[in-house]
Amino acid sequence: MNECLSEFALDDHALHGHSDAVVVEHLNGCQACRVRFERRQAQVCEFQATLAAPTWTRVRAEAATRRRARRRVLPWAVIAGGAAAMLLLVVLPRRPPGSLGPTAKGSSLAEIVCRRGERTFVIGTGDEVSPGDRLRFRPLPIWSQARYIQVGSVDGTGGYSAFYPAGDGVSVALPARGEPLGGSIRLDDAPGPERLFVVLSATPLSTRDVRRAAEAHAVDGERVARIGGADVVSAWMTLPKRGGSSAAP
Amino acid sequence: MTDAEVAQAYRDYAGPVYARAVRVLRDREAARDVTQEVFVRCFGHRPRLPAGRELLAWLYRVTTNLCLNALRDGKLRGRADRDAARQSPTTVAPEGPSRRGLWDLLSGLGARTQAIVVYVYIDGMTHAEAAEVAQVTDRTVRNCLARFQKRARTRLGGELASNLEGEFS
Repeated sequence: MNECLSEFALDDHALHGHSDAVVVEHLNGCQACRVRFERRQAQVCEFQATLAAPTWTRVRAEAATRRRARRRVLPWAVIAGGAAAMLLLVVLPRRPPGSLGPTAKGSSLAEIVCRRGERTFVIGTGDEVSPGDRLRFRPLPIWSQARYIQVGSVDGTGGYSAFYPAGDGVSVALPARGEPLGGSIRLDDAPGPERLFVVLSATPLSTRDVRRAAEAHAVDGERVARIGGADVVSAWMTLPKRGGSSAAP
Repeated sequence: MTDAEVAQAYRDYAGPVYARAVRVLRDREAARDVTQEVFVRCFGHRPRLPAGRELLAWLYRVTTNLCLNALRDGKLRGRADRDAARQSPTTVAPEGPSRRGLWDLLSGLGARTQAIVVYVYIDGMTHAEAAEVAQVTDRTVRNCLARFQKRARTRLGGELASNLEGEFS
């Protein structure tokens, strides 16, 4: 099936590729493709001769109708959106300054499970972590193209520690859906919040590139969309900590 | 794109879009409706429309989605179309039987898988071309085709190869 030229290749050749030597050579040597190409040209000519003009009239009329409809709806949509925003501002309780949740910057890319003594729990908004806590990360299926993950932390001095992978290397493969990353991270006793940086990517990234991105955006807490030339989905997760600001694996 | 550029795109691409919709649907009236809707959407997407081969790929994606919608909604008018073709034998008639059976094979699959099946089995694209048009990886194309083949095998039993050939050629 795929030895001959596809319809896409024939269309591309007819529209843009008259100098494409491979296509021309194949067409010269393949009777079946030549017949298909001529049939395609005949259908295009038939459309141009009989249907193109009346269809274009319908296209323009329909496009104008939809444009008018959008203009009518847009002011109401803006008013409704504004009203909804005002309502949210009034109804939603304001977060007190300084009380950062685990997804204070950006949406969460991983569920964090904390082991504290004999107790194991999933960290929720406002939960504090403590020195000695062990954290496990269960990646969430946020981005269908994600195949790799990196997790690290920026401490109070702005220094970056890579957790997954530990030390230098490249991103680790995502585990099966619902499974946590292997091993756990033990928090040390330095004071301050834990600022975790989680990066999902379709291809492995070097820890050096991720470290550079984390250190550049640790202060503003902005999400990073590209690292090392690749599209990524990233998020900061700031965890309040009782008497600590850095973490060690 | 300006209105004038959309008009130029219509002059260049409407014929190929129509020919492809006829090939996918085997129904001229439905193909004309699809062509109209494709270019109405061009007006809606004017600021983001690409050019050249990328525009062709974009048009393939939109046309495919609209054709699949037509198949799903049963909007085909194959009988009337074939009657018209008999009365006017000089025109290029849609070939083969109605595409209604095609939807039986595709229904229940995800939209991306359905589109990739159309690209590979109806348009005859290579996996690389299908990946380019669908904006996915080669691996995704292979996975989608495997899902489809498994579904088709269940529905068509041992006659998979010949039935597929009849349905898609």
